[in-house]
Amino acid sequence: MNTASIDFRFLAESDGSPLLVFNHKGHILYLNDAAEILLGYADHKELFQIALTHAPRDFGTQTVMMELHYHQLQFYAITVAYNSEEWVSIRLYYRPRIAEEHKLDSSHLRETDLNLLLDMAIGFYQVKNRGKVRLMTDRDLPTFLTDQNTASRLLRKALESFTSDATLEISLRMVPGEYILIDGKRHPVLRLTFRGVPRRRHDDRTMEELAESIGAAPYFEEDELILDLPFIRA
Amino acid sequence: MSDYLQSKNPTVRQIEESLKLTRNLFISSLLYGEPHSGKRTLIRRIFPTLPIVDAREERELAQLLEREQELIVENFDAISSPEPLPLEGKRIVAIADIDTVPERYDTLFAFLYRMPPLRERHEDLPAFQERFLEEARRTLQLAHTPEPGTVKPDLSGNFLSFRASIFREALLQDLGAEELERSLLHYFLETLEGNNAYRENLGLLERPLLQAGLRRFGSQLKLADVLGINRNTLRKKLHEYRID
Repeated sequence: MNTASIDFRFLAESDGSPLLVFNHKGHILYLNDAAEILLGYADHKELFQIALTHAPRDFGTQTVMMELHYHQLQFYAITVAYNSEEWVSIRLYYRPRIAEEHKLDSSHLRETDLNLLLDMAIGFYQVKNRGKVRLMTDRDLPTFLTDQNTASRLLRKALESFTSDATLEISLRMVPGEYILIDGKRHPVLRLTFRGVPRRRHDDRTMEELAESIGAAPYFEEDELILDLPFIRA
Repeated sequence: MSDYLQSKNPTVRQIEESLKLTRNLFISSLLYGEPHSGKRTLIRRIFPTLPIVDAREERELAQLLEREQELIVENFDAISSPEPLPLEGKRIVAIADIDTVPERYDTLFAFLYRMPPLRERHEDLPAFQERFLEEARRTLQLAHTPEPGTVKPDLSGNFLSFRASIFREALLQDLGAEELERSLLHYFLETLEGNNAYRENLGLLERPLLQAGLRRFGSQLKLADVLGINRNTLRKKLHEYRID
């Protein structure tokens, strides 16, 4: 067998490391699935600048060890490659993460519609806050198991950290390829992102504790809060 | 409950909508606020079949929390140490007659709603006033009910004082001469004393008489005519009672 029958595009697309190819103006010519996730957090113009800065002098490739953090996505190195004036590519290497294993008290797990919890929490938030809340969610999301009381408290705290009259954007989606390990079992990740004005940080510690008790992982930014929830099938 | 009056206040509406969602969730919620602000009525309307327990009955509360998965707990603020209560994993709706909640409640409840007092719910007053006036007319068998604009509601004790003030006013405005006399008789029997009681108590008749006369006839000239007294006498009386 020769290599002609190998689908290299498929290999690139399914590779776990983000790969982007830009034209000379910085427009994206190609990106794989992992890069699509990365662009949810990173600006493609910034990535293009990084590629230009670290490109080899002549045609070829250059790997540079460098720390890049985009929210919870952490990279330790990049490879910049080009063999034409028409394009340049950048590949980012994930810092290996120690699989963080959670323990969970299963006695309070109930079959839950996360959209219902969100509606409740947003309703509560809007009793005190006149700012707009824009929710992007999948209403057909299947139910999953969680401790509803603790999850509700966590959502309340998350929303309250944005107390303001400004618009708050919330998005909910399943994250392909990522999982949370609980009691030795892998569970897909439901990612809740809250984005708005600068947050109040005084309840971050409490949120960490609440998240820990339901097997979730919070990521705190100045104007953004991400909650990765374990999608434990009902 | 067909006679339930839906609040027009946006905060109360939002609380109602949020609490309705908890009918499908096992979470603990607290509705707190000043006494008689309508918390129990709202909760019983949203959860008509839930068992209710008074938190002052500690033993009964403990037994029900062990046994039931869903419960309304009234007078939650009466519990001195609520932390060990097994509220997790249940549908608990607690009610507390307090206007600010202790910080420790934050760890117990998923959501803590503050019911606004009536003085912050002006959009609700006309409908309730009309309701109470009608109730007063029926209960007290009044010949007529006062116009809503002539009643000054007392909101200091929320629905309790509001309703009482309307009943009182409706009754007062319906009294006839004979009832007024009986009322005065009772009053004098209770209060008459001193050495100048005649002059002191004359104002009970003269002051409202002059105030009503001025309001009804507009001019002192006409009022003096109606009362059958001299204009100077009327002016002197108005001055004496500081009526403009």
